[in-house]
Amino acid sequence: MSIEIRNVSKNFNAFKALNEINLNIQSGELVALLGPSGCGKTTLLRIIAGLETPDSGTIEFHGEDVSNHDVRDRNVGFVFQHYALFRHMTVFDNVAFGLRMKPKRERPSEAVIQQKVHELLNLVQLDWLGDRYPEQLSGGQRQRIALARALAVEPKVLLLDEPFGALDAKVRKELRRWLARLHEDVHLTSVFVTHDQEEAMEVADRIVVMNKGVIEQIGTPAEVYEYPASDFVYHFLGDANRLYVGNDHHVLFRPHEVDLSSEPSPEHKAGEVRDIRLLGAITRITLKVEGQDELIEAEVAKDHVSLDNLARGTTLYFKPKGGKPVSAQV
Amino acid sequence: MSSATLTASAVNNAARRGNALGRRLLIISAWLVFAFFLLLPLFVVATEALKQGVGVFVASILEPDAISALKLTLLAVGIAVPLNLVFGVAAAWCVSKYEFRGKSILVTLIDLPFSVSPVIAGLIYVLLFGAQGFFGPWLREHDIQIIFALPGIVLATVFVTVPFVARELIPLMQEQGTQEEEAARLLGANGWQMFWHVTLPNIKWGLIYGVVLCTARAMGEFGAVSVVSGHIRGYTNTLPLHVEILYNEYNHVAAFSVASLLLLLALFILLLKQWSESRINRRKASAGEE
Amino acid sequence: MSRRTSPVIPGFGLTLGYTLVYLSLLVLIPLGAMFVHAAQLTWDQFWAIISSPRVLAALKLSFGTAFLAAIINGVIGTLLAWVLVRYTFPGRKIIEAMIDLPFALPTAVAGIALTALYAPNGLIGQFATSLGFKIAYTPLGITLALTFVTLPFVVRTLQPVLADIPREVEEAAACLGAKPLQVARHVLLPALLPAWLTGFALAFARGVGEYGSVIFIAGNMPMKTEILPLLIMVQLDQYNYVGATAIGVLMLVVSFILLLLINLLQRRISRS
Repeated sequence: MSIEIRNVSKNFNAFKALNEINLNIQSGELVALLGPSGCGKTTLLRIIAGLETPDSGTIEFHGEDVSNHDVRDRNVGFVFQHYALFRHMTVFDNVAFGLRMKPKRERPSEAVIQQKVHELLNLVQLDWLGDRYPEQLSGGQRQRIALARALAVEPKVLLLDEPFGALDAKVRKELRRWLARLHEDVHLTSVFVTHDQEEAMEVADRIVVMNKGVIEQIGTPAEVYEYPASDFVYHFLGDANRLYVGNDHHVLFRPHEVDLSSEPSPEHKAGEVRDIRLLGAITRITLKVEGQDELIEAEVAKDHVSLDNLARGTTLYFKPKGGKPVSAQV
Repeated sequence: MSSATLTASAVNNAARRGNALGRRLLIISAWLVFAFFLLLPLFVVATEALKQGVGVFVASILEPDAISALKLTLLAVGIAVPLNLVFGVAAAWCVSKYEFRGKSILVTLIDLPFSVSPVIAGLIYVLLFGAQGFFGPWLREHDIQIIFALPGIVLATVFVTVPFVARELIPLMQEQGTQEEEAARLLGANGWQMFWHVTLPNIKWGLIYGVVLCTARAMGEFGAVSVVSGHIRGYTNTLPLHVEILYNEYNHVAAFSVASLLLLLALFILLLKQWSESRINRRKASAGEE
Repeated sequence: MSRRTSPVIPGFGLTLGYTLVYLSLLVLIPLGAMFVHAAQLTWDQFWAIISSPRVLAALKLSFGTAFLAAIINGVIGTLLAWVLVRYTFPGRKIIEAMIDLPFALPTAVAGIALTALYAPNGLIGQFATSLGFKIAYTPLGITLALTFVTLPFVVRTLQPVLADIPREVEEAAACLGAKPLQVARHVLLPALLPAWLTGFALAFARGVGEYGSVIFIAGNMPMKTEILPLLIMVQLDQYNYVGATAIGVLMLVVSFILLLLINLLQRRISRS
């Protein structure tokens, strides 16, 4: 099922949370809403779910305007950031909840519910936890139960709010790969919110970068990384250097897109070495350029020739690589 | 070890010994305060009630006026507590699940009966429904009796116990937030299903705690009920009023016998309270582990 | 974020409406009616009632004994709260459970029990008699009764706050060279004072209005041991509704002014 978001705006008192948002999400796509906290991404997700009403604009599911549909009739699965599992119910009852709440006519028999819940628990590989209560589970397990619960009602759209935000780094990595695989199997139109660019790049088909209530850029992970539409996107999607080139212009480039040399040349700029850090396979060098306070970071392979006999205080020459540095008014 | 550190550790040890002594003194004084203020009165009720033996004690409790006072007390509690229970849930719901202007004023108003003297609580209903009150003539015309009758007793009891349930639920529900309710709605539950299956189980112990406190106060209310009851023996006397009448008639043994019945009820209520409190704490502890 | 009003949670209109109607019918309109009733009086008439020596004596007695009882509770309540939170000792659980007894026990029962205890021939009263003074039927007896019924307030408001102050704070202060009294003054007092004042105010408000536990032990002698709520009762027994209303209004107004002052004091303390 596709989702079309048209001219959606939302204010909280004087605060503009969303400003004229337009976005189309294709059927079966996995889209990340990426941005810093307060950029409106969670509000947009809640509006799609029907947990929030927009001040203006419409939401369409597969061409049908659902803006005025009650949250129960939208048929969306929603996974909350802190899971919002029902703490007084067992895992099994949590997953069965949506099926048991159906009106009598549509409600499946208890046997069907049993079978269906076990299928879902198997899908999230936690069938052995059915009798436990949410408080007895680890964060990662809760996350997967919340997902199973959302999938139980066979939603046409799956929405996830910071699905990995509350987990520690290792579990987070495992789970996001698992989620990407799951999406390949189930192929449900899915939208998730995150503030972690690595997570968005690794999991999503397309990334929607948001800032201050507006969409900065929409594109595949490669597109937003390689061809950022603005300084904001450039900075948000990875470490960035800013080199001032006069006339109030500057050049943006990433630390690994630097050509280093120990010999001066007309194209290279001089910098004083402030710090040298060995970070495993690569080495990071911090350079101070005359005329600007912002330091420049360069990352090169640890056996790079320019590193020979390098010490703090010596001078190194560098040049941004590639032909597409962003140039913009300061 | 230098002499300076030696002195320092000696000072430290002295301080620790001083602490242990102070600690023991504090604990002993707490025990004394407890015994003096709380245990002695209990002891007195029990000894006075049994002064003339168990037979007189039992007879005083089973006497018809005492029985009808007990019935009236239970009836008043049975009406007032459910009313305030429903009110408490509704008030806590709108205060804790929504933001609206004037919310803090509403919370203050809910607490208002706590700072009004029970005698005034009785007085205001007399002014409204008494023979000379605003509605007095109208009520007399239609032959409806509120003051010096059950409705007045219930009204006064309700007034003094209005805040109990709401006060327990508001902080609890604010802490729990709205996400589980939202999740229930997203999974297709309607309003009532959401309330019965998600909200109510989550606030169950707080609700019981509030009801227990409310019951204790409703059962024991004296001043407000005294104003509106008219003290008609066998008809509008609640148990606490019955105690007063017996006491004023210098029938001390009977007064203390009935009082000890109320005391037993109070101890039972304390037990219930302790139990529901421990359930709340257990829930909080497990929630805190997340 | 999760606190924000959510449009999918139903029942706002229903619950708010019910709350407002219920409160209005049972609390606000009746209380308002009392003020309307009092408005029958001219200011001079009203003043004549509330400035009569008997009313003034009762006013002084009620607010004085309630204040004294709240102060006593401020001391022993702090002691009990401290001991219950900080130490484990035999009987701790019993004390913890029984602290709320005054809330669970009907006040009339407390009243006759305390009277039996402190009467001139009572368990404790006899000692006072032999020393040449009386407890029951004096302001001292009233204060003791009020201390009993309001005992849990200070303990119960202090306990959670005290439990929330991590011990490390005190230890850190001690490591920085503070003596126990300095720790108490600079670390504990500022943290506890707002809650202490809340407990004090609750105890005070309850004490001013308390009736059941006091009338037995007070002796109820006009000008000497007659409390304000009893005076209202006396007026009602004489069908003097106007007099009762005037005293009621006086009581409410004075209580609210005092509570407001305590509230302001509390705000100033927690702000500084």
